[in-house]
Amino acid sequence: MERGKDTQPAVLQVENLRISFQTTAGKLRAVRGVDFTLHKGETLAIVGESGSGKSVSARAIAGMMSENEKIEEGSILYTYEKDGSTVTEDILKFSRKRRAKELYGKKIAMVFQDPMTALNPLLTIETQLTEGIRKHLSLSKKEAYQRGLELLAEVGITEPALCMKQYPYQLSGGMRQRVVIAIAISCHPEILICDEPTTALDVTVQAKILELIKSMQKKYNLSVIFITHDLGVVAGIADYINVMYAGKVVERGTPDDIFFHPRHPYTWGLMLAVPDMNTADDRLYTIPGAPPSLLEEPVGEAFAPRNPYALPIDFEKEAPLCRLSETHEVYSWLEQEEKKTEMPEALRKRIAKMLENAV
Amino acid sequence: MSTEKTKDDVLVVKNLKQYFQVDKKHTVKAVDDVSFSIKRGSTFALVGESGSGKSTIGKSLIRLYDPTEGSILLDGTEIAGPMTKEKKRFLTGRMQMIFQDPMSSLNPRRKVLDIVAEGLDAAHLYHSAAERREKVYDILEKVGLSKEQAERYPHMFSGGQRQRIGIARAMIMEPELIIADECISALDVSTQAQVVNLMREIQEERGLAYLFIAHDLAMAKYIADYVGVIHLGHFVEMGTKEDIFEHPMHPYTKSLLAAVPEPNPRSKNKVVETYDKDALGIDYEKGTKKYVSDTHMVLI
Repeated sequence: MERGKDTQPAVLQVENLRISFQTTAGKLRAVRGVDFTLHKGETLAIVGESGSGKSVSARAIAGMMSENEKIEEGSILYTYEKDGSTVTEDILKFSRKRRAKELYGKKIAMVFQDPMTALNPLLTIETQLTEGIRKHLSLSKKEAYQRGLELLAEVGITEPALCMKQYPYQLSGGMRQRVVIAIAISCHPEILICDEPTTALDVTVQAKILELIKSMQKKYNLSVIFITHDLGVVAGIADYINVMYAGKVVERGTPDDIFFHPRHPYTWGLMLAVPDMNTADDRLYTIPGAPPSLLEEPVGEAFAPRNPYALPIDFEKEAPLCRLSETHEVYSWLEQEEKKTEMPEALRKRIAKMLENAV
Repeated sequence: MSTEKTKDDVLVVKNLKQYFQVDKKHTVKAVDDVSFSIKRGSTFALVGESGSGKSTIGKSLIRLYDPTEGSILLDGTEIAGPMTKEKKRFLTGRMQMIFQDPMSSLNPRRKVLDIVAEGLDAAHLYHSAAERREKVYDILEKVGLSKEQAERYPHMFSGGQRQRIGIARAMIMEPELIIADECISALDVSTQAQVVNLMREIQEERGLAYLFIAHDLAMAKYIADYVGVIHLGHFVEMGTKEDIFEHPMHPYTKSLLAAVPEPNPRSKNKVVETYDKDALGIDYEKGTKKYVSDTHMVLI
């Protein structure tokens, strides 16, 4: 969707993406028609619970698919500069070889949730860091080592030369994530996919890693896809937010749209579930129940059984798209009603408080 | 917080030390001279970063480790020192634990029924198989699971449901104190809220106490009555929820509070302060405990 006139050109356009897994229990439809657009230099956040398909969609972009995974439909359009002209191509139509050579690790890089499993425990940081540099940038071993030292210094590791010799187990969680980020940016990627990069980390370390990702983005004009289940993390980092539920986007907008004018009951629930340091309620709001099993195509709206605001039609038909503003879209039957359904009182109060504290 | 009164305290810990000998020359002082107490029916949150020793305290208390020094009074009875059969029975009947990762703390090859009944089996707390079954069903219902689910295996449950099984397993012993070690860290935000609310409901109903070990200050604020902030094996600050969240004194506590991400896109850009105790010239071992008020302690 177009977001105003002053936005940067799109780098990545995901259109009607459908992904399924063949499991012993049957076909699991993990992603059921997702679209989103990533613009140059922006951070696009994808927020949802586990099982919402947020990681699966992002991994498909990075070419990380398991054997039983199949892209049923859709396209991922990648726009890039080639010999002075702008080319847009569907990366799903690239040959395997071409993807590996041109895209992964080079143009599209990824930062994972758990830096311990993302790094090979048997190889030194040097080996893991210089592997991509030597392959994609065709540097000699010595040059690659130099570049590696620079990168480590850049991501805030105080003794790069020592770190190069070490193995992952010798580093703390925060240091490991810094190394993973250094590896990700080592070949000057355009797109950085961060899949829950701070979930496994402490609050203090989390804050520092978020700052690092932000500064790297600014420095290299990276386009970032940031995946998380925590709306609190998203607020400070995102330029645009997609809220996903059961394999579909249910609401999208700028942080202001989502945090101050949320319209989908699922977004309401997600916001209220985040503990807030500024309010003194003694009971946390919860979204009742659990996400649906996607082994069967849900009838009607997937969120309806957990939605206290569900209308009879929610159980029959999927909700239509409703454009609320140039930036804000929601898929909800509530918008079709004549009488507008208001957000829960607790959330209204919380938002009022947020606006009070806003700068 | 006075540690002298023991009547309304379910747990009193005095000068607990937990050292680990790495080799002949090196000893890690994971927990160094820690004292605190937990009131009956209240929640004490133990907050700190990884490596601070918060989990070690939990494991020392429930005697997964042998404390190097110090005293642990559970219901007025000393449980530190060499373990005996009677002591163990006394301990498991009153203190239980919930772990961080519900997948690795539940035996994947046993049915939920048998996992939850394990404590009963060990302590011979039933007379017939029917009674055992009945007890498990009751507790499963309490934590929001159905009795049909008792016949299933852990992998058939979602993360939040697995944590409910962990809670049921602890609850079935009718403990007075539950040590919850990062029990929600591995869960989604929405599921975290469900589990925390469940823990509070059970607390109101049964009047049990929690030692809630966490690195997430926002969640600690919701659940705790008292908070102890721990860093490198020392309490740097301890007090009621209001003391810690409204009037934090120690620079480490302040840095932890500043690091909590705010779910507000227009919040003032908080600068993440780096806490460097050496630069500030703080030495925990030489520090003295200063009581700002009856409840509020700061290490300076």
